[in-house]
Amino acid sequence: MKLLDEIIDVILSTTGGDIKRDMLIEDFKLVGNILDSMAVTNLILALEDRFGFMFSDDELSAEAFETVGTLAELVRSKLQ
Amino acid sequence: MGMATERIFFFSGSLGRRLLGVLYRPDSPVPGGTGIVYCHPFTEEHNMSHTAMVKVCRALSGIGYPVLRFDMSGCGDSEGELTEVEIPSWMEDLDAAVEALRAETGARHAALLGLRLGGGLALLRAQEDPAVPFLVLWEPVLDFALYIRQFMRRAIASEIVGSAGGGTTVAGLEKDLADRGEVNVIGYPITRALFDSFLAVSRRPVQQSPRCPVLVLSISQGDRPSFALGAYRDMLEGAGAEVSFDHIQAEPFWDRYWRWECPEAATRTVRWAADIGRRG
Repeated sequence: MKLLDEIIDVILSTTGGDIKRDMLIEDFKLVGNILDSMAVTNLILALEDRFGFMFSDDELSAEAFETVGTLAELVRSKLQ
Repeated sequence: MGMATERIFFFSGSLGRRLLGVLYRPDSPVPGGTGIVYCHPFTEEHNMSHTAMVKVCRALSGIGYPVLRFDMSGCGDSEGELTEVEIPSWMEDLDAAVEALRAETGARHAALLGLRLGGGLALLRAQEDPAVPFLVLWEPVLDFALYIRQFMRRAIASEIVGSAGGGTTVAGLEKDLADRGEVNVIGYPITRALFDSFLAVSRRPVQQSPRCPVLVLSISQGDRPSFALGAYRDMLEGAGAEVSFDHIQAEPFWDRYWRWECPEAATRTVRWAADIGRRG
């Protein structure tokens, strides 16, 4: 499974409501759209659990969670 | 399903605080004299899970278990402030709840149902009390130190959502705790004493296997348990514990203001508890 697909899996597993996979293109806005603060916390935990790393606090920024694409970049950087 | 009555009352907890209890008394109790005490989660998780867990308590009472649902000190409708409590306070409250259940219903044994932090507290009590007849743990918190640090991250998440560049870090919050004795995390005052008490517990919930039958429910939207819960399941099975472990793919209702129940988890719990009750 491609990394972006896995990240989308995690986003879907931590958000409720009517979010569908085909909505989550790279430019899809996350913060201020489908993520409230509780969802951000849960997403952080779910990504850490899925990929086996821990974010440092200074990696967690509004910019990183702005879109699907920016979040994917953050995760890619952690896996390199 | 049998009829049950519900009674609200207060009983004395840690430091003599008045704790709110809601007793669900069945019309036809299961034989064996076992009741259930429900241990609730922490802060927002407690609030958001309230309706779902009331339904579960009623359902368990419906199959013959007297159930006591109560608010711990500094939580809900019980006396005290969050700034005045620590984990040992809540363990004392849980002891008091067990005694209250016995006094109110004549139950000889108190099984424990715990959601999230309540599940961790239930595990700690079962370590101290070999008479706990069974445990039901819904997505239990197994590492208190990790949990409270993850809770502190909510302050960071709030900044992210607010697009504020405050630069809050958990390490910074811990320094503020050391310097000032208290920090505010999404509106909850977390004292150094409370924080330290979580650290003091750390992974104690998993350092002993329960001696009684235990049902562990992993509840998440993923298709598998978290790494930590999966590892706990493996540990229990390896230790020969009498454990039933199920993963339920469902929204974590304790984190969702739009989810008022988890019928899959409720049904599984009621069936399992009914089987235990038939054993006598």
